[in-house]
Amino acid sequence: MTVAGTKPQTRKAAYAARENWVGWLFALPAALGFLLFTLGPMVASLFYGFTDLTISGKWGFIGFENYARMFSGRDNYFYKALWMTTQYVLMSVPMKIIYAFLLAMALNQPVRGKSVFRTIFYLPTIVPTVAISMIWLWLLNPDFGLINQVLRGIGLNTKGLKWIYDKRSVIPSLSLMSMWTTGGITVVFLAGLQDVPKHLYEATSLDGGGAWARFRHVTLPMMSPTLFFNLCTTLIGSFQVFSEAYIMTNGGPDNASLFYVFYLYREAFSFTRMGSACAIAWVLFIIIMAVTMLVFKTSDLWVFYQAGEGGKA
Amino acid sequence: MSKRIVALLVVLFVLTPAGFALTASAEETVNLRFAYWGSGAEKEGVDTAITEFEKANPNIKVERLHIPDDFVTKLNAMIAANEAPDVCYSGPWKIQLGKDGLIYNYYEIAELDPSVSADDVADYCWWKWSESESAGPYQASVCPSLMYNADLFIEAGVELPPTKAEDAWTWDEFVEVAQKLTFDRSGRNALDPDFDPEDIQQYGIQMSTGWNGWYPFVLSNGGKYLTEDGAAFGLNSPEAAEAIQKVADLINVYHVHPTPAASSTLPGTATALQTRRVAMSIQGSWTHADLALTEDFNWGVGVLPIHKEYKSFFHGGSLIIFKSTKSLESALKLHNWIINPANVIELHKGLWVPQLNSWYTDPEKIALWAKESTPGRPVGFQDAVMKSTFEHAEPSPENCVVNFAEIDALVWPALDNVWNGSMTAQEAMDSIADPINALVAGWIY
Repeated sequence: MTVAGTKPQTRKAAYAARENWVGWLFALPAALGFLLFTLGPMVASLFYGFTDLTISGKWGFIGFENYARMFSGRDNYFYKALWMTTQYVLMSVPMKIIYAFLLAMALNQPVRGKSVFRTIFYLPTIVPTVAISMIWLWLLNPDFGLINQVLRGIGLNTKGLKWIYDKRSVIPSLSLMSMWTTGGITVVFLAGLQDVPKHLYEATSLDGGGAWARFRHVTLPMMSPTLFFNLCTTLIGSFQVFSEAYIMTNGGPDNASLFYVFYLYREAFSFTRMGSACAIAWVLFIIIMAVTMLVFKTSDLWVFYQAGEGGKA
Repeated sequence: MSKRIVALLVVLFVLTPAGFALTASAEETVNLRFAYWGSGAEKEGVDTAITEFEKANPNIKVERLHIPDDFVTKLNAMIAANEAPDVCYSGPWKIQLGKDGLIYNYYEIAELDPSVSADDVADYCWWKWSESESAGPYQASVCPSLMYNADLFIEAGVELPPTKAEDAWTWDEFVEVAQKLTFDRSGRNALDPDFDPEDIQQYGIQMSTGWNGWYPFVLSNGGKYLTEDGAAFGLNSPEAAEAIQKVADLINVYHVHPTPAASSTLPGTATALQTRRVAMSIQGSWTHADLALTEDFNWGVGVLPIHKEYKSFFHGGSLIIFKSTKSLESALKLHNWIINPANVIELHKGLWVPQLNSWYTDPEKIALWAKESTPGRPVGFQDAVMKSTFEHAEPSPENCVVNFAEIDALVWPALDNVWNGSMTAQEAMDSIADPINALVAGWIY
């Protein structure tokens, strides 16, 4: 960034220096917070991942033993937890993104009572996960649950539909439930949609493009940065899913919802292997990092930034 | 300097050592920190016991740290900050604290305060991390108990459950009673050929599907959690698997027990009994405290059904004493005070049952906690719960099987497949035998 220099060089430098200093001061609380409460514990957990730390704080170096235990399959749950979590991510992320995107488009329509609808769809997001889990425990109950009752009401046979009580359907059920709390993503999409320049739609219409063309050639490319952002955050959030397993299924049935973070929690607080839990956490960190980087790499192919000729702003 | 001031100084000079001598002669105040969980009645009972303890020991002040949830996480943080409590409640993780040398071996310190005699505690009531090292005895016990809504028996014309172990139902008799007490929404019981298992209004029986629910029947059928010599997993033995299968059959064959899904929407045991959702319940004896809350509710207790012979068990947590305590003697005093049933007697009238043998044999002590026709102790209690358990108690796997937490974490997911009928108990237990045998390290009691 260049600014036409009208002031003398020295005054500008002094001003910049002071501005710099003030800037750091403003950033200090956040920076300190990050160093003390995020980076510090992260470094500590990396360290403890190579020890046999227990809940009493005693530890000794054991090298790569924690990692060896995980990858060799001597740990009964590592691969299971990884596989179940991957299934959940693969299923819930597209569901959440597509649903939130469609919802945002619907909420962006000029209809009466627009803000009421927006509030309604955002509401579940501010309900604590524990409460949401309890609500869905009822909704998904095979015998008395609202969902199966409605399905029976329209004449469907719900006999085999056991939702979270069947190991084949527990992950789809929890994915379905996760769509309910996509208010945050929807709001980001909504903001993105309102940023799409109207003249592009007009231009498409003038060229004879219909609703599909407007969506395909204007909305989608213009929304791709927002999509990209939401994809990254949703991916990360989905890998870290925990409460649903903790509250609703206890990882079951038959470990079919043994999510990775739940497995980590159990390693630390049921089996008292803190060191091993640290190592488990680092493996997840690396997986999330790798997946996010992969998404970043592919973003060149499909994310369109408005400034510049399709390049990055 | 005036004469008066000099005189004052002299007096002060004389008095000061006397003052020192005075304070030194009075006992120093000891401050203890006690961490515990439990809600409602339990907190109240423990708080009362501590207040009484402070009255009896005026030189000891106890700071109460009530931590109802995330106890381990918070304790862990306290340990890390060198602020561990002196005495606290503990879960199975105490074994690790013992191995790491953070807590006292009770056997070594017991003689400092002989108010609890080790002879009064059964062998299987100790939490141990080695043959000679223990975190302490159960602070109180609980046991499996069959509870029922008597009105539902009377209405269905079914005889009430027996209260003496020698009269216990055989499993088949038990199933038949449960069938007579299970009704669909049209009012047909489970023996009716037109009974609709898809639309059940009242279940004959509900029990815990955790280990404490089915383990009495495994024992009764001659099975055990580990083999007798402790060398291998025991629940895959034909006797154990058969007993577990019969519990699953209550759900999937006889439809007298709710499925796991149906169970999840039933209210808590006491409410489910009161609201006629279930007629009988086999749950932990702590439920008696909940049942005691409604005055006019006509509930009762019976003995458990049996396969071969009557068997049951006690289980319970224990308190631990941290080595970081500044006054071991006071900490042990507090520990022994709280685990003495006499000091928490209100809790032993419903929530807990005593862990000390003398409270089952001494009529005076029995009268203190097991007097019948009281809110938490219905008629028949002494036979059906107190005697039947005490006289037929086996070690509880929770503290007597080494590595229990990790072994059980493999058992219950496998059992999910049994409860939903997709596997037989034998298949499910066989399927986890290998990983469990890798964890098995014997019995300890």
